[in-house]
Amino acid sequence: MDYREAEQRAPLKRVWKGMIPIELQLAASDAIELLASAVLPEPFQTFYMLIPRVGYLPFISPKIKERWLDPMLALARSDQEIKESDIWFEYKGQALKWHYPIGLLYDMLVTDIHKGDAELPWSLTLHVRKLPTAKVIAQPHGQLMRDMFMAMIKEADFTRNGSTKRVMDLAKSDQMQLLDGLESHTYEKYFAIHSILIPPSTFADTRAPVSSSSTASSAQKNRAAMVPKAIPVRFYMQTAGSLDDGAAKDAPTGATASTTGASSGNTGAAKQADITQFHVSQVPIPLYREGSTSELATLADAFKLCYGITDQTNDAFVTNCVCISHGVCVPWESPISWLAEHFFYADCFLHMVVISV
Amino acid sequence: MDYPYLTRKEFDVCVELFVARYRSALEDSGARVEQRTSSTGRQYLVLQRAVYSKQAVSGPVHEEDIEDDDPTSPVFERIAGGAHIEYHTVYSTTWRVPVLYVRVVTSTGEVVLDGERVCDMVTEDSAIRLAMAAVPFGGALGVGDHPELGVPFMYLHPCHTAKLLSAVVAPDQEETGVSVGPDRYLAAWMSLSGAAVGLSLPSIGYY
Repeated sequence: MDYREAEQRAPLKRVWKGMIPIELQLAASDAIELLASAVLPEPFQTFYMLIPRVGYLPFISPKIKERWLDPMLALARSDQEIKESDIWFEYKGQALKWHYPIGLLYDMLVTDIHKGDAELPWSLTLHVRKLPTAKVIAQPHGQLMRDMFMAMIKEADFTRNGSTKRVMDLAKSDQMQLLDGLESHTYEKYFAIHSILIPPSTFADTRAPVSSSSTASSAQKNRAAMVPKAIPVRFYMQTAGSLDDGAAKDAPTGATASTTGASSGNTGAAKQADITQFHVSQVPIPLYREGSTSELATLADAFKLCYGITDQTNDAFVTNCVCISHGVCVPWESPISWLAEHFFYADCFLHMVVISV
Repeated sequence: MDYPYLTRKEFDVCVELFVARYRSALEDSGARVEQRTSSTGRQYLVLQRAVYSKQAVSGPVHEEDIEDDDPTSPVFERIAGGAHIEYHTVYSTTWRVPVLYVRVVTSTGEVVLDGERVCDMVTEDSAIRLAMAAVPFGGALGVGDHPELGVPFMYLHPCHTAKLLSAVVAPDQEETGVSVGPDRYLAAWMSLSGAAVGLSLPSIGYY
């Protein structure tokens, strides 16, 4: 790898290496059932772990069981059994959606990230019984997580290339390596296969528009062939109300503010975010602005496309909202092409959390 | 229309036309039909019906036919009634086709998201069940959050929808006399996707 490639990969490596320290406590009701006591034996009362932002909770559960729960049960001579697929996590009364990347969950639910004042370690409650199946997909075990992850990879492939050929053509051993790299959080293993799905530097210059006079036409043609049709982006917008079954009425606070000019919903001291209040929206985002072959589409453009804001001068959301990804406030003027190269999650999607400030 | 792909606006039109055409027949057959709109104005279609036992499809069920008296068995559950199945037709911006989201809710309010259990209840054709199980990465029925409701549902992987629609229903009117416009699109799509999950359309007249 030459120094240019290393330099280009630097943000990606930092994103990949992002970790969140968590502090786990066992739900009191589960403690009573497992150990006949709400108080856990020392030193098992709290468990600490560093978990990867780009990872998923079902891949962490086996380690938690091995290092904390099993020894605890053994010490207490409990004959109770815990299966990995029984394990679920709760934060301030909310069951965590285990199929979301860990970093995304943190960015959605922990307040004041954009002020640099976020909760660390992240204090979670571990449950091993009574998973709330109406809110959280049941049986969070490794194989189901792998299947759901591959579904996202297929969708990303389709968005970028118009077909799922790249994913479906992967040799079985390559698929296994991709998943293994993800589960074990090993950069080299994962990226060796990721580079097959998304060849590096498909977009030659992600800072400046591609010059029409540069390079021979065949090199240009090659570059054009590798330029993705669109980038898979998901926005998670915090709204004022909750999404109810067929009865959702409340408009997103950010969009409301942007269209009426009046601010509503969360202002002042940050209210605890509710995972059910996030509106998830996804639209394939082209690299260039509509009607242009040189103006790079920005994150703001993507947001407008996603939420059908057709008035190009309507930029109120830029002032009223921040966009957070990987724990970082992403400037609204960031080119989608740069984000697509450096800021994606393991599933090749850009996951952007939008909150009102 | 860029058949078999739809824009969201075209999808909305297809839903309106489908409902206008099929609502009475569906309601006569015991299904509930609802057009819903999410908070950001995105439309989706909901069909709901009771879960019938497979035996009941071919004739009345006799109590003495039930050999096991395990109250948790699928047969018992179906006969006991109260379970319903929901089919949500939701537009996908990625795949640019409708995607079928499914969930079964039992009489006790339990949400069933187990592909095998659901297929057991509603997928009659064993060849279809085999084909579904053979799809890579966990089979044709995936589990995920409903895009508008944000709660767990099963869904039919949409990656083959466009191919199926192209292959089975010829869009060229001149060659075969069959065309698929917005008025028939959803019916065609449902005929292809529905069999996998026990969704069938009642027959209606052509005019």
